[in-house]
Amino acid sequence: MNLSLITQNGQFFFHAGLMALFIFGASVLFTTLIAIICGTLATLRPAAIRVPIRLVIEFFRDVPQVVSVFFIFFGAPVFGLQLGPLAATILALSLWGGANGAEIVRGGITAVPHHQFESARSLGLSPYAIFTAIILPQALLPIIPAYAGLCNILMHSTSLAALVGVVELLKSAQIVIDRAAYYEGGAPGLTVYGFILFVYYIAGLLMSAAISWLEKRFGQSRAEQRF
Amino acid sequence: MSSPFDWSYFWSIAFLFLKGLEMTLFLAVICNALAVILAYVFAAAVHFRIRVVREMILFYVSVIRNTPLLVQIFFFYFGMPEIGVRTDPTTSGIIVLTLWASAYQTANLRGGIDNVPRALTEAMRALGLRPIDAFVFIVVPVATRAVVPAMMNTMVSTIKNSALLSAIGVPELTFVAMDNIAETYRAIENFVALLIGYLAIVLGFSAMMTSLERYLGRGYRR
Repeated sequence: MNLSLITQNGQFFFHAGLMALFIFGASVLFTTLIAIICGTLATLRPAAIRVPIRLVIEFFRDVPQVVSVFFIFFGAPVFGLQLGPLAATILALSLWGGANGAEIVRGGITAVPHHQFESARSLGLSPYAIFTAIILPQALLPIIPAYAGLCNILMHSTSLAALVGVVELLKSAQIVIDRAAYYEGGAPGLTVYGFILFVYYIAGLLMSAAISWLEKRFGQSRAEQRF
Repeated sequence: MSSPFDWSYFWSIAFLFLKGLEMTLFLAVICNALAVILAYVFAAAVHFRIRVVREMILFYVSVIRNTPLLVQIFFFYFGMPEIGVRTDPTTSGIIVLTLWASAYQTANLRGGIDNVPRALTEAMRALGLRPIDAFVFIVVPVATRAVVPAMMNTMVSTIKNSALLSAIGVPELTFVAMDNIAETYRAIENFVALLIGYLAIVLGFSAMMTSLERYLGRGYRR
């Protein structure tokens, strides 16, 4: 164990951590948008809308995340879409997350009892009001646990950015290890990778705490509504 | 730069992809089987509250589930040799993926075991079953049936996550594809082949598991 390796490179790791946080934040944001839009579209009646969306969702769900990252980074330029490592990772994670999230949202919407649609319609609400005021609130609350799981995976997936060259936590660890092994020798691997695991572990615990707080809060308000 | 889809190239890489597919399938079978076995052992140790072992297993499960698999792979492959554990990429891959999957399967199983109705455990005690018999013959079957869907999901994740092992050079599907691309710059053909490979594995596995689920659920139709 050579902890000075961590303290000496503290600032470097801090910036790498910020980069990971940025990738996480951006991909969660886009994931949520894609998930709500595509998840809703996938519940619509016309097959012309539903079928292609379901196909795209299935495509991204069945392919490993790394493959979608590699596909956007190495494959998309063939179609004229040339993205840097950071943008490619965020796009790939968002599409992957969006596809999985859309499936979750679709499940939530189909789980809303059908009489809710019918009651809302008989009250004369517009389709937009039916969706935003009646269906979406009831659909989104029960899917918080599944959505939290998705966010957790997305947080871990920020490490995939290292494979296409973004300097986030894992890549920063590799750089520090390479340099330390080259100039100082010794055994930096366990220490530095262990440190990265520790950082992710703490971040994961923090997120679990935040999610259980969310669940408790929304669960309560839901219980009050019901009784 | 690159011409549209080139069929002759596509067929020329088919054999390489079959080799990769074989490796991915091998990883899928070995890792999932070992992980499920380990998960039952771990879940039993936690269930019976074996003192230090229980805490260690719970800590292990939470560490694995709260850290990225890719970092775990690098930690094991590049870190462990420093304390004398030096294994080749494929062995390292099998070990890490098995440990990863077993943590998730343990969590799944624990969920099932905790949800076995209290009346059932009390009835077992009233009948005078030894705790170990009660666990093996009553708790495990009931819990397993409840968690089969969750375990299936984890198995599919394990198969898909085997793609991460390409980062340390395990010659599975993704590695084959990226290797080909590095060699010939033909991205599209390789990604199409990759997609077909994973679709075949994942959909085939899902079909198999659905029939298994139906088999396990027989007599439980509502």
